[in-house]
Amino acid sequence: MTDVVQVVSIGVSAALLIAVIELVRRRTLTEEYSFIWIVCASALLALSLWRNMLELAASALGVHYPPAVLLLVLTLFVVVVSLYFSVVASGQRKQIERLVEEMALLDADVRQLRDVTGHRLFVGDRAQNEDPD
Amino acid sequence: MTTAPPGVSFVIPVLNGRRTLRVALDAVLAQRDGRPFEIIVVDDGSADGSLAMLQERAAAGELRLVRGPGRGTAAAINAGIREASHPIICQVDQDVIVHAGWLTCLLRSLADPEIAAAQGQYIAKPGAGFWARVMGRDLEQRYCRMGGGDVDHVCTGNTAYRATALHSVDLLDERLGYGYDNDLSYRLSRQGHRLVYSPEALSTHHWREEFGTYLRQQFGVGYGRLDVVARHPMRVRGDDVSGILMMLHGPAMLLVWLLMGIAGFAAVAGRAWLPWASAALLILGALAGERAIAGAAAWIRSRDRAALGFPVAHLARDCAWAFAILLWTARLVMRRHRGPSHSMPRRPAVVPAAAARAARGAISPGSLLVVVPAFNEASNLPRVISDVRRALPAADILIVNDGSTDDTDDLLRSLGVPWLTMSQRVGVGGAVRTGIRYAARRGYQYVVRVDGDAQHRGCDIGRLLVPVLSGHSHAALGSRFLARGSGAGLRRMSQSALAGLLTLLTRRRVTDPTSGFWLFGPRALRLLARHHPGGYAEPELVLLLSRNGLRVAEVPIRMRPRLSGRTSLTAPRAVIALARTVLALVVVPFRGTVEGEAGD
Repeated sequence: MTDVVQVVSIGVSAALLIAVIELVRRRTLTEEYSFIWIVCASALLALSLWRNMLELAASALGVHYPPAVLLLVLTLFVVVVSLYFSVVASGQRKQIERLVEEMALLDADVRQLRDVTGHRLFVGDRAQNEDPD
Repeated sequence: MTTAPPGVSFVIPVLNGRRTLRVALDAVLAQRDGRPFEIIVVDDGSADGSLAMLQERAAAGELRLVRGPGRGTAAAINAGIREASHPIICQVDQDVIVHAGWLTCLLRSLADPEIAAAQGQYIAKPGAGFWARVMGRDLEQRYCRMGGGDVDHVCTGNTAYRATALHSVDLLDERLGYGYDNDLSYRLSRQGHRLVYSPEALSTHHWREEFGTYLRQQFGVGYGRLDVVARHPMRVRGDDVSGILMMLHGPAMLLVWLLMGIAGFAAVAGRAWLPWASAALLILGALAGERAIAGAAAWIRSRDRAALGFPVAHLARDCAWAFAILLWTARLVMRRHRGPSHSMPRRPAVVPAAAARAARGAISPGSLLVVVPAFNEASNLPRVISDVRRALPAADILIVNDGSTDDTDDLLRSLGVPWLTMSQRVGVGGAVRTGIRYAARRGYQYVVRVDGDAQHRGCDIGRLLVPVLSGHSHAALGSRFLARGSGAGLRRMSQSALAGLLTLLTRRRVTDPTSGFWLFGPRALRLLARHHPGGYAEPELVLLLSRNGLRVAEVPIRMRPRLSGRTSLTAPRAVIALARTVLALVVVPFRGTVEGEAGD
């Protein structure tokens, strides 16, 4: 591996790691989701620093140009991350649906209660089937 | 003669017969000659407007209209015969136009008390299409050989029977889809009754025109014939109308297929294939030659060039028969075949209106909730509500407004029914799930799901209730296949692919998995409050319920045409639903059941 490639890859990996840690520090990224990024950035950094391991991995895989292994790892990682986020998005979608459903049910309950009791929740509340907003 | 002439009852089974029905009825009415006379028309569930026409004529006193049981032609004819009050019963089909003097000729034959049935002669309509003419000329040619007098088979559709004889053999066998007339004739003969053919009694038969229907009909005829032969083994040699030569055609064609198959395999394996292929061609040539001779004879007699098409048309027919033999045998081998059965897909019995009404009456207030998921259906909702209220006053209604962008929201305040508003659009599956949760919290035992487009009729809710109230099933699905027929392209194709797939998966006949008309019983509600699938969910619902051991009954219903707005089942949606079901086919067996789980 030429030195330029190594320097660039070390730089990028380190920047990624620092960026992730900084985002966590600012609470822009929650720890939960940062974990997978930190693992990835560290792995890339380790491979960039430790040339022997990269070359070992390249020869084991039958890859002639060792930096290509870095790309391979990166691609693999991107796939894993996007799958992981699909799972997260599915879970959130389900949660949102449940929330919307619960809200609709509660909304109906509140309306019914107000209709039955004629109760006003706050000043200016038009008790007749009217949403507070 | 001093005694009064015997009265005559005409029995006409009708299913979607508007094309020829009016002419056929007029022709029958023209047979009146002063003797006691009645026409009984059995409507077996027409959806093409025949029913309205019949009701009109029934109101005018021309005929008596009977609702058929919806279990096929034999059952419909039987229903008519049971209603008949005169000693002579003329059974005429909806596409048969009897000629003047038809009745007089047949009654002359029936004057001999030993004779139980007399059949007239069919003639083909002169201007009909090729396939109809082939069908007609073939039958003509066969009858022509017989001359007149005693026969061992009379067809239905063009025939006068003695009522006592029919009742002595317990009418037609309703389990047969085709060939019930052969079965009846053989049973009558065995009891010592005489059957005659009266060629002077003429009628024009409007055969089906298209090649596809011709083949399908021939498949049914072949299949029915096997059922008949299974009951009357001696009849493997045929009867006076269909002789031994004709009976040989189906098996011979099957033999041709077999030889061709062997020749193909031999050719692939590098063996000698020529002997097999030539044997096949020889048999094929013999079949075609026999038909060519019959065709030439028919041509000389009738001068109709369609008769020269016999070899081609009848080889196609033989293929249909060979296929019928294959399928019939396969079912027998697989033990799917409990005795002779229907050749055609059998429609489940329509729930009688009285039973549906009783079921609606059995619902107490506060036990049934009608959930109406609605997305931009403001123009249809008032009609849905008034329709349900009229049909089922004891039911409560809940509208689930799934993020509509029209004025549904404002409308809801004025409708006087409870409603839910989804603040984000969650799809019809989520909307129904919310409705079910609402019902579960308030202690309802049954939930009906009706679409917001007013296509589902409130009175059909009773039909859905029947199987669930009786404990026969846990949920019921309204299937509109009775009123169907004009499905378009991709959407219809994926719908039927879906139905086939789900039938395979659930091992129950599913015909309309995309229907939005459902009734859920208590056990289904407990499951669905948590696990009702989201999105465009109907097909998965069938699968989910059956995987969890809940029985789903399909009930035939009719739908109103959509009055305004657009359907949500677009072609892409239908394809996506199909894809999702295919995925479920792979995934669901590994997923196990969900009932009783804490949730996901």
